[in-house]
Amino acid sequence: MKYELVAGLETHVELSTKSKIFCSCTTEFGGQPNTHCCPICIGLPGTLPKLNRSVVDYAIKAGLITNCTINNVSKMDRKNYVYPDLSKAYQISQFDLPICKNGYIELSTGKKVRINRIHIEEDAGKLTHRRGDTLIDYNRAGVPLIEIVTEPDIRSAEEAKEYVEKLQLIMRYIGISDCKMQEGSMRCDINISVRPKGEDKFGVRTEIKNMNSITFMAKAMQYEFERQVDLLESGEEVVQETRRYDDKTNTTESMRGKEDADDYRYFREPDLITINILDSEIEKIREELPERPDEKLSRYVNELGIPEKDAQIIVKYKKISEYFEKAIDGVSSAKTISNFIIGQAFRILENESEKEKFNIKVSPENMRELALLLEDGKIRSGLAKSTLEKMLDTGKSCKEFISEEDMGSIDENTIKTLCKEAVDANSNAVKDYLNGKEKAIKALVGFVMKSTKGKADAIVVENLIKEIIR
Amino acid sequence: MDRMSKISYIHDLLTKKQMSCEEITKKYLEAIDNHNKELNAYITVTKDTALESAKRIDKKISLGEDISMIAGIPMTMKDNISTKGILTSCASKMLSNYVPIYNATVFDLLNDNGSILLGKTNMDEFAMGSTSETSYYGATSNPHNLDCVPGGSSGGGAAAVAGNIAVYALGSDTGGSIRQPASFCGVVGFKPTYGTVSRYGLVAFASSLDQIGPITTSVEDASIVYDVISEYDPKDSTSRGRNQEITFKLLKNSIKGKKIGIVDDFFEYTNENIKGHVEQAIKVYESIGAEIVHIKMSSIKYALPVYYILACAEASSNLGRYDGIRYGYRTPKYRNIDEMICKTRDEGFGKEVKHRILLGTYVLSSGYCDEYYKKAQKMRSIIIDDFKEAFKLCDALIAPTAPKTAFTKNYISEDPMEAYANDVCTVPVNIAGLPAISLPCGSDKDGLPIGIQIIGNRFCDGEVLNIAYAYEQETKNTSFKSVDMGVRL
Amino acid sequence: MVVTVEDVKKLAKLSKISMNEEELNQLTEDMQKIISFAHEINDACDGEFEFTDINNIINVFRDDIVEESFDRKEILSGVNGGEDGFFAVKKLI
Repeated sequence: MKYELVAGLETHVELSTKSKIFCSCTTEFGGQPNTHCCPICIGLPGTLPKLNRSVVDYAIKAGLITNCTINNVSKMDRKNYVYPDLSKAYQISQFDLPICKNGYIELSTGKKVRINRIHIEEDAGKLTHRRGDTLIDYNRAGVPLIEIVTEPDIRSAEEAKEYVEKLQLIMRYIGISDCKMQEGSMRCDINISVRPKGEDKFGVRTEIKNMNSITFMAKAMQYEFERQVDLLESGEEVVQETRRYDDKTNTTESMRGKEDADDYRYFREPDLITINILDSEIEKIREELPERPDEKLSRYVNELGIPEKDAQIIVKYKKISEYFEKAIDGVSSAKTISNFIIGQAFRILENESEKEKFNIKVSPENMRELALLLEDGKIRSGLAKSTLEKMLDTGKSCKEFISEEDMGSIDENTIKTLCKEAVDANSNAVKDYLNGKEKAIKALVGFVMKSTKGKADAIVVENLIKEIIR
Repeated sequence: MDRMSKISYIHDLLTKKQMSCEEITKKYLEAIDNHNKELNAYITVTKDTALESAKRIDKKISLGEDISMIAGIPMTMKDNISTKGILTSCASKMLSNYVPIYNATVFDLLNDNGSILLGKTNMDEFAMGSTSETSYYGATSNPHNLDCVPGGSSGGGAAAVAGNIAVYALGSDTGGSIRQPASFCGVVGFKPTYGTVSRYGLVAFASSLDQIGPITTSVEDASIVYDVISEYDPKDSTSRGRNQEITFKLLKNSIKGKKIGIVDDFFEYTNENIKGHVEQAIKVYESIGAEIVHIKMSSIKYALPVYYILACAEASSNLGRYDGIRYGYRTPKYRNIDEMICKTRDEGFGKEVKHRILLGTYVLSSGYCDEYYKKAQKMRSIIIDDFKEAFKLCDALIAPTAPKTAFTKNYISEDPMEAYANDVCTVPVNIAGLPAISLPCGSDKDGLPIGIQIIGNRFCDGEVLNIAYAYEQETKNTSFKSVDMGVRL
Repeated sequence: MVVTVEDVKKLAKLSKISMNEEELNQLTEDMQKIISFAHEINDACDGEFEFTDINNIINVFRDDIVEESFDRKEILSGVNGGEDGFFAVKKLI
């Protein structure tokens, strides 16, 4: 029998607001343990939360970019469970009235992964274990999160991977999170079940918690799919439970069963009041939203004439596309800039994280200046490349490396004269060419290029020489 | 003296330089030394800081600076109001070593106005109870009869004010915890409109019901203190502050033509003696020009179950944080972290608290939430609407504060419902977030005080105080039994 | 509505309170009384509950501004200074 994988994702995204969701401590990552804390985030008796306005705005942005409806009326609820990293023994979250509902993300196949809801909540602290002792750091307690919950629309590990990558990209685009899985600012829980192909009913699902890498997520899904299929094939049943993925063995193991599942006793957070979002506020945020990555890609390809492969690379990194947009301002061929970035600048960027930061020494203005020289025919592409390399090394402007003399202020008449000289001085080559040796013309062109120090346009020179010989 | 404004009296003594603040404070500290053993009203006495603050006030006065009405007035706060550097135990073993690192907003406001904090007062553990007997620090006694309870949960504050070992006290009222002890101790207890006094720093019992308010010897004092503490607080999202005008200005307004409503359901469990006194009070109101109207409120009979469901549900969540990890008591013996938490909570909480946590957990747990918690919420909104309708027909309601006068200590009821029924007159007010005041209206045959309750519409705190003041003035020549104890100025 | 000892045990587990048998039995009895009493309202009202804020206030927010956190010494003052800057639950032998 053929089986089909059915999965839904719950993705936690840490929001990059400056302060925490309910108090004014910093959200900065790291820091000495318990130094980003105050009576509110460590849950001292008598303290009260106060909601950070930006958290609501960020969630609305996330909702709009993922085609969600924004609830005009929303509220906060308490999710009760006792765990040492949770300083109040409840997490302030949203239960039945999340900020956003009913959206979707479109995959490259055109398939829509539906989003059930996006809600806001607080993160918990961090536990570490040392020689049997449990150590607790509450710096992360109260860092704002959104949780994005999909419908069970995902049918393969590849789809899950693309969904998460897309999500990561658009969240970065709208600037609400850096979505660094390795730092925990983006984490996924996967609900996964299998069913015979063609079957409508869902199978029993398991949940794999806290995936912090896309690669591991795909591997875990694949493993879990196979495990569940094996169980069904051998006549056994899948047990509803929470499982943990072990990246060393590439297996999943049971964490706790359904009977141990928490009863969260959700109820309305009485310390916070109703959130009312006006349509006008939603529209204002919608207007301020940046261009979506997929829209940007099609604009680069269709309007700017950037090859799709290059355009994808630029769109993939928010910083690069910002740089690109600045640098192409006033340049007639944006492709010159994309070539500079992907051809030259990428050589010095060693890994993904450097590409993400795109912290190069050349300013977009300086890169534009160089592109304009090339476009105006004042320098040739070879010189442009070598100059850009020097600029990337030093951060200096192109003028520092290109002398007045280098710049081709050579008029057409001079070139014509030089071409005539070349034809006169290389009668053998002319003969060879006329006898059908196409390549012989290169020697003549080379002569001109040499005497102009490479400033002339080789194609123009070749055409001129051809005219003279005929 | 007992039913006059003590605050104005002391303010005059200070500003006319007839007595220094230090002298007055010392008198109160001495009185605490003499009487706290029998009353057990204070958990902590802050002698040194009280004297330091007193000296500062004296300096201000000597420099001719203006001082606020409450500057230099020795007072006390319930031990569930957060005080930086001063034990805030909630009368629980769980917090018997907890010293906060921040101040409640009300304490900041009092400090800014030059208050003299004498100490922190006893209460039922985590404010759960109506006798002040569930305290980890032992029961408080009623100054009118040391064998009787002072009521609760703000029993320590009421006993301290009645016993003249504090000029006034701040208490908290979740289901009657200011008004009922005030009534048992023969003093004034004012529970303001929910949201007018900041809850920031009040250790939460039931967040949607809790409210801080004053316990005083007179309505005027209640008004003076309320005007200081009812400021909008940006730290409390549910805070609104009082309606612009200070209530003190409204006190002396005539109440002629005001309509005072009577709802029979408030009298249901009330004994005849108390009923008689309340009826007497109603006559007084009629004599000064108020119009009495009878009002039906069919939802009031459900107030008690609604209260217990909602209060316990919120409490079960609010008290989850006491796990021995960040502050407070931690069990000395455990095998793992989960056992540490479970044992800490078993040993750190008293019976009544555990009882209510479990009840609250029950009504919120899956399968029961719809039946209990959600129904109670629904009924709460019906009660709120019923009060809204009632206040279309009258300006305030009059009711007994408690169905009985103070009972003897260690009265153990087999039925937990009997104990809860004592709150029947007070809980509807919290459910609807209304302002209400309890003030003395006489005493029973054993000389134990009886209180009447004036309940107002939301944010009509000034009106409640005005109507209460009118009664107090009208009856000021009728002497109620007073306590011969503590400071006499 | 019947409350059993098993129910109360489950609640104790959920509330993270360890309790002895005697306490459990007494609590079960008390809970039964309170729950039957609480049940009264069940019959008295139906329909969906529409949530409202008691004082009709909406949208109370703080601006996204960072203020200095508390000194760690203060944060850890409830646990005698903690362990290397952490709150700690030490393993007991």
